[in-house]
Amino acid sequence: MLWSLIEKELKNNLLSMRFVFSLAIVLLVMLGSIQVRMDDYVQSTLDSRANAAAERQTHRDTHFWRFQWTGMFLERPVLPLGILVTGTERNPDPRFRVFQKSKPIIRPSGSIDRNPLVTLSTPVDIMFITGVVMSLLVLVLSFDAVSGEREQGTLKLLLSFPVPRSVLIFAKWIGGILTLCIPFIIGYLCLAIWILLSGDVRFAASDWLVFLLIGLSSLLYIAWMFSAALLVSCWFRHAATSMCMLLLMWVLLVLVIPNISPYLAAAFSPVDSAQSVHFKSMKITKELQNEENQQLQELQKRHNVPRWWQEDNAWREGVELVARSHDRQRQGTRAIVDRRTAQIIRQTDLAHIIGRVSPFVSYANIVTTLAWTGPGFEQHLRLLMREYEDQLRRMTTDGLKDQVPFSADMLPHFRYTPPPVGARFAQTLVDWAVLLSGAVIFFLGAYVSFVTREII
Amino acid sequence: MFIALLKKEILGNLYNQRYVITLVLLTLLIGISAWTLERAQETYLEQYAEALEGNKAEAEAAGKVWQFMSVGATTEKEPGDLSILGRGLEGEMTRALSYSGWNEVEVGTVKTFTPLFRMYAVPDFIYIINIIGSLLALLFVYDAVCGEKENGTLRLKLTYPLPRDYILLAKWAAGVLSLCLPLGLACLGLGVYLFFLPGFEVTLDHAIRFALVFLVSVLYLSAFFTLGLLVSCLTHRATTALMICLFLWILLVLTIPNLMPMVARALKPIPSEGKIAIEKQHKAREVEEWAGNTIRAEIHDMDEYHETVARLVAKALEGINQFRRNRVQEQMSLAMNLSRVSPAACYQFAASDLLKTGIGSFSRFQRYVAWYRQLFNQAKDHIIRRARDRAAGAGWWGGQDMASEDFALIPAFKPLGVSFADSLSGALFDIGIIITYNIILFLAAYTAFLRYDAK
Repeated sequence: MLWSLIEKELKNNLLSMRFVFSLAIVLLVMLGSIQVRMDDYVQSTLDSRANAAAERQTHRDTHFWRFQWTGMFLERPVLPLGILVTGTERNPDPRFRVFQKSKPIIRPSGSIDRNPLVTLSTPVDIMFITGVVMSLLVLVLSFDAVSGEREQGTLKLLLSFPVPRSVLIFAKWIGGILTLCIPFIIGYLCLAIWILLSGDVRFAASDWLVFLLIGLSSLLYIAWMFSAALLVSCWFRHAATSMCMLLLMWVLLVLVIPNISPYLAAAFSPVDSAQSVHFKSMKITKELQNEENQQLQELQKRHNVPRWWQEDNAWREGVELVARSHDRQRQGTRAIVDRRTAQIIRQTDLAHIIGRVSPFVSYANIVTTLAWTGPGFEQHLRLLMREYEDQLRRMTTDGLKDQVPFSADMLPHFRYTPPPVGARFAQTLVDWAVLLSGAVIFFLGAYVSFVTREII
Repeated sequence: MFIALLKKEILGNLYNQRYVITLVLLTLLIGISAWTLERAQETYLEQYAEALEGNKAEAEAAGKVWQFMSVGATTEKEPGDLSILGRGLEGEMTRALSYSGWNEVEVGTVKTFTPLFRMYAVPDFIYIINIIGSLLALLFVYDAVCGEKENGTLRLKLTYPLPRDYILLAKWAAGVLSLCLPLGLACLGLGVYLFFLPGFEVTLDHAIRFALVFLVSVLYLSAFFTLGLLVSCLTHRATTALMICLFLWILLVLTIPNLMPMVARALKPIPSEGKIAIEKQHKAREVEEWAGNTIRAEIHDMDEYHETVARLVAKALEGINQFRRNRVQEQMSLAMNLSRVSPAACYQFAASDLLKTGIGSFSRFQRYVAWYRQLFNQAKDHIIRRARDRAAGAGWWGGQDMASEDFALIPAFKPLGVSFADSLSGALFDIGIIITYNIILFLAAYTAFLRYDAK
């Protein structure tokens, strides 16, 4: 009985023109955007490699003393999963400046001469295609699931058969979700085949796992939307009314709440400006540099030399003194930056809590965390860059003490590895739970409404 | 006759449930957006004041000339007053810019509170009209013709001695007027809110710009309305019309404006910053070697020689910068032209230009940054020359103390205000395209309706 009802729903939906339209749109947008995004990825990876090599070249003629003043540029890592989800990596500055004695903050570096249109537009990625386009298609496909049949009178006929209402609504739910999953799954599979065949982007095994998880979370998000649509369709008598209500809900949930929630969070949980952090850090740096100069002068007096770098013992002691002072500068700066980072985390969390009213925020949080292009990425990257700075510090101090010439080959390679998939997945558990419970609650709502309300 | 038709259509719209939803939604969203962005603007202004003071203190803390040369001056643009309505490229334009004696201009981070702000679009007035307004316009009209056919009222109407063009024109005019009403009310509310906002001074310039943005918004919504009318004239069932309208909306509003900048990036790549840096290094070395072989023998004073070489190097490097800027410009024009297939992109360009946060203002700002760099370099040379005079051969110029007159030599960073005429000339092309879309779509709808089978 249940199966024949599901079959009826499926056939009804699959043979409709709406379904064909939806499939066409999903395939067109998914495949159209992925090729552009893969090309962009290839270009960015090539640029990033060339830039890293070029950066080493620029340090060819330097020496340790100068190196610690100028510091160096590190390329912003380009992750292959970025082709699926852009997250916060929307036209970011391509490099970071690290290990600079005069300005010890690790900071992004870019040029004012860049194409700002990319900043102005919304990236067309899986998050956008599923979160915005698919969710709209879900509403279009399901707004009249119950109210439409009621208007046509077929529902009355259906109920004259010995079919329990609970089975009927359950069949509608299953049939509807299966229909909606089909265009997504077809599109997503084509995407996987396209990525495999083109060979431009190589996914590791863990990346494929993330690919799968992103697919699953997308299906869950679609199920949420469908359940909500079913509830609305059960609630209203006319198909046109339910369509209006659903579009209103969609505009609020997908286009408004996610975009407004960061601003609301900012109003309640402020964050210091980047400039103020810079000023504080420069203040500490300046104080410590004055202290360092005084200590170096004392050192000269103690060793009784006019210039501390002219005598071997004074030199070794001086280098250590400078290294210690440099360490303290970085520690002081890091403490200030950490305070701001803590504020940022607090504000981001608050924005997520406010935003979770909308399933789109939960969904966006899941996919950006899994693909590791969300707000967590830059914080993690900065931690790894700090470790890299520490390596450079050790290298520079040793090099200065032993008075070996600087060579660009000595520079360690900076490799960014994102946290393991398990850890990233664990961060998204709350959002999975929110989406799942939303889907279940809406289905129960639809169930109760369908079972108890008058049909005629 | 026409008036009677128009009246009937307008009343039909006003009593419609969809109309009430449009009215409530637009007013609500525009209100929320103005409130949130105004709160954010307050913070941006506070941060700007803080940065101004800090930058000044930081520059003046440099006691010696060499210290000033290495620290340099940091400047930033004042947050634009109209950016509450359309943030556009304001974030890019208000980044801190550091000029120093021997480095390239360094830009600070984009002024957002957290990285999360980069993930979602800014919910400003332009966004609401561009995305939500266009959707509402289509929803408003999709069944204007085919719905009446389904109901049977169209057939009835055609039995009266009414020319078909009257019917369509009445539908169009009534629809656009009915759309203008909620938009006008919302804009009026917004204007009143801004007028009474403490700290926001409404000038004539603001009023004219805002009025023009309202007009462009009406034109834009009318383009989508006419598109919906065309679809309605081409289909015979309301659900089909709705499907096609949503399909077109996804394509025109969500896909084309967002995908085209990426396509342009792939078609016309810009050399990366690392590549440019290496090229600059080679160029500088080349110029230095050339100078060593040629003019070194002619110039006897070492200081003068170094100064000449530095000037030549700076000129050569500026050439490379200019090359990159041109490539960026080419990519940008391509992206804009490709996006203009969609009226949504045209609207975004035109409205943000009128609010001084558009591409035109940004390009102007980029040029000003390059120009200010030259001014700064002239001041820098002047300061060094003065320090050299003070040292007068006894010691290094860099060891001299910075005098207060030296600080006075540094030019103030004041990007020129964008005049209304400039904004308008930037926006005019896109406004023209939106009008053209309106005309073409209306003619198409007219032709389709004349041939429409009402049976």
